[in-house]
Amino acid sequence: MNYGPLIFLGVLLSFALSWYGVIFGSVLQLGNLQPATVPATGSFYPAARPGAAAQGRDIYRANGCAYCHTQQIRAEAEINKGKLVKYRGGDVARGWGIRPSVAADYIHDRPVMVGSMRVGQDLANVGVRQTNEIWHLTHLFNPKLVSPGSSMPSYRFLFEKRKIIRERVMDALPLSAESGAESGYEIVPKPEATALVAYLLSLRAEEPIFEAPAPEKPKPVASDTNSVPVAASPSGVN
Amino acid sequence: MNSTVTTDTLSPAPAAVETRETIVTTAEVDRSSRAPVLLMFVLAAVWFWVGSLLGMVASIKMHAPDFLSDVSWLTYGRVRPAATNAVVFGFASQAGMAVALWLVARLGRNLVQGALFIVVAVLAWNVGVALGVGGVLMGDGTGYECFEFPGYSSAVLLVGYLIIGAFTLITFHGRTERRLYPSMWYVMAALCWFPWVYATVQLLLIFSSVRGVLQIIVAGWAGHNLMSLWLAPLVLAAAYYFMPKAANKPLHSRALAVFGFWLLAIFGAYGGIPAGTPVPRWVAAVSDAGLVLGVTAVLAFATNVHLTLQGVYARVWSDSGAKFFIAGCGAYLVVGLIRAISVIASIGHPGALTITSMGTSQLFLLGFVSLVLVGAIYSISPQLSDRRSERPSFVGLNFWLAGLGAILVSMPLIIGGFVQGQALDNPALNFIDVVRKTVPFMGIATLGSLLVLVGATVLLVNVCRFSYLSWCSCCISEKPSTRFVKISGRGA
Amino acid sequence: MSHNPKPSRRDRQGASNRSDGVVRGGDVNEPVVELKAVPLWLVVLLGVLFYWAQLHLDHNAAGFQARVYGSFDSFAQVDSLQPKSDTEALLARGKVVYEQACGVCHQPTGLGSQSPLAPPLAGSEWVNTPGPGRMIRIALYGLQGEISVKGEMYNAAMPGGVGESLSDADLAAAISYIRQAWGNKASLVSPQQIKAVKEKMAGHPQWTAEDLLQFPADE
Repeated sequence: MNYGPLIFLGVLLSFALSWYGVIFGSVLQLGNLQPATVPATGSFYPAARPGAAAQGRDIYRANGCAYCHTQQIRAEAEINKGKLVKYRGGDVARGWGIRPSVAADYIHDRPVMVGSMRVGQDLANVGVRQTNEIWHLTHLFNPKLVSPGSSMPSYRFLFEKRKIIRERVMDALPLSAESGAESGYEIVPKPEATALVAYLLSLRAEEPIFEAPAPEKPKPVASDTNSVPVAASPSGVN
Repeated sequence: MNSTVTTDTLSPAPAAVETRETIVTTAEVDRSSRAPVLLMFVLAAVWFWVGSLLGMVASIKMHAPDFLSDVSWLTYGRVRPAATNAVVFGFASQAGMAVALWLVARLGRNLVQGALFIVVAVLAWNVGVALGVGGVLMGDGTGYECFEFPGYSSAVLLVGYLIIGAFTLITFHGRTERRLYPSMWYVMAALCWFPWVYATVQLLLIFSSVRGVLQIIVAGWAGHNLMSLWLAPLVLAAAYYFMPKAANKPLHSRALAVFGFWLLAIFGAYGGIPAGTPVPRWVAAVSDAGLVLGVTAVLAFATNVHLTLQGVYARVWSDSGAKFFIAGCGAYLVVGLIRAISVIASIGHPGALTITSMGTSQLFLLGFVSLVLVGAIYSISPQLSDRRSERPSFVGLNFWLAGLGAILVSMPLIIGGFVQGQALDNPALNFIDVVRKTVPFMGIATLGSLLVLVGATVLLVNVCRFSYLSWCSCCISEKPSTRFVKISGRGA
Repeated sequence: MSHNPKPSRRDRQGASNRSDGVVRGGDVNEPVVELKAVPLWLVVLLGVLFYWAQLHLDHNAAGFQARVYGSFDSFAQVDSLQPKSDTEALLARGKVVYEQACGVCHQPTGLGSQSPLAPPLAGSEWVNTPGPGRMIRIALYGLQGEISVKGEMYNAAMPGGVGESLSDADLAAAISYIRQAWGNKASLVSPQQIKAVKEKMAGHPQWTAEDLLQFPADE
């Protein structure tokens, strides 16, 4: 180990091994991943995020929402006699998702922000759980108004406090007096807040796909709820 | 370390040493590295302070969410990455590069080459860090953990690095001491791993982007390697150098050092993609296997250090500077073991996404990396000043602040993460109650980050004082006669 | 390197640095390293962990296949867990295609309509044939002139190209759906059958009922 070039060579080779194995290997496997066709509807999953949601993803990134919120469902498949009975795990039990997240769920995103820490709820399917835009806006303005005891900070800088000129504008938040609304003023979401909510509403990853198939013996009710989110996602966002 | 006051600059080349190569004296080596190394130390200390401050703000927000929440650039999701990046790139990388440069010059017995270029490059690096931290706070963060610096700053960083790295290599190449002490292997390896990791991130994530979860794979892999194959080897180089010195004994085993080095090189490059991540299963499995095998490298290092210090622990511990190294190496061992154990425990049951991960990375950064580097700064900076009688003040205090701070920041998060993981698995428990369970742990972590901040302040004051002293001696060392002129001039 | 068994010239140089004892400008002594062996337990531990890692990769790497996630064991397993009835998927798709392409005239109920005039498909003898050949031809190239369906005469014109604008898979799904919906009981249609007819009949004008009867019902 006194010969410099030998150390260099070894160091480069060992690292190249990891680079080729992990980075290059997975690029070969996944670099060309395409949206899957959903048999039931013939549409593609996942659909590209509509414009407002794509802008909202930028707000999500800029404000580092991913440092508290994950976007990945982890669930174990329970397989019995060659059949997928159900998905198990805390995430499914909490209603955060009905199947584990897989690579295909993220192909349209840049950056992909799966997060690593759950100080807040998982958001992989928040667009399914809570579809009310006003709820989301109010939650961003002051989380405790709609979710008492929440430890999420308020994002007031995404809103504008304006003096009411003649009457409240259409998109002002419907805040009651006891929720801290000052009389004569209204809270109007900035475009950033609206975009962010559009992004949140576009977070739906429940469509069963090849890599995470739906459990067997689908009850008619269950299969309906599965297909609704995807069919509705393009219209539900805008 | 001795505290002999000498005026070596006036003495001729040492007579005891004679070979066909011109031998440079330690003093000459130190003088050649003085400007770039001290500059890096000062700026690193500044970034450590900034990072600790931002880290404390972020920590407070974990249990008091509305603290400063109305200011967009101080929102948690911006402060947290700004703090981490300031510490990783501003402090740890910079101090690590300074230590590396100094070690290469010292151990290779060669004058630092291109010191002026290095100084310019250091300034570029710091402009890059400033742009990056500012960019993250302004909302330009890239969204990839550990690599949040936006493209416009990372380009500057990379240019700065290439110059510093190149001149460190040139210094290495011209060494007159051909035997390579273990520290040299680590420094050289780190210097060639970093640009590879960083360039991969820039090319595959920031300037263009791979598809979907490939981004998670690249970011996770690179984030792990940034710690394991950039910061860790630099810090290990410092520890391998200073530990035997503090013990005043030779390092226990060269073979063990070789063994540990190659274990790190081979297995250290896998990790960062825990099981359960939505990536193909083999990627996580390979990452976990590498992480567990990597613990052998940690054990090899820890064993070597332990066997070196065996019997003299008490004596070494009494040296306020050496405490940093012992505690830092201990933290490295603990982090390695925690990671390996949690990987093995999580097999078949994907690990919960808890605050434990933050705790272990804090222990790595504040316990291992920062402690050893601060110790190295305290050990090196007096040698760069001609006034060797000057000692940094409050080093013991700084150690206890930094050490306790690191424990109080990381341990509550690690333990709290287990509590959180249990609670998350229990769907009967409301999510808000799950979060509430972690709040006390976050509170203790804030106390720890306050200690770290005070420690960073002590370091900053000390380093600035030393640089000032060295700057004085720098301007006078060439011509002793001018010394009086300058000093009297200032006095007048 | 005091324990180096083969001291070289360079070692002497290093040794002299240390042994001169003259401390010039601080400690000249750089740390040295002894030549002791690697402790055996570490080598054993490495072996054990290596063995563990191989087992781990055997069990948890899912054969290094691309599309295996979460707790699934192999690609074959994921494949076997796909919803069994491809038929259901095919018919569901067929329903969508039928309602878009055919339903305007033939109605989603399959009962046909008076305006625009379209004969019923539900229970039709033209639908419940052993083979789908005639239906494929109608769907691809249209129909004109008189045709008797369920005992009633219709003189309607179905334009050509309705089926040609669809992909083979979609058309196969739609015809399969027609042949299984509303009480109809006839075989499913594969895209290959569509393709075969297309190749034989490319560019054919609209059919008449007599033309069609020349083709066997079980084709």
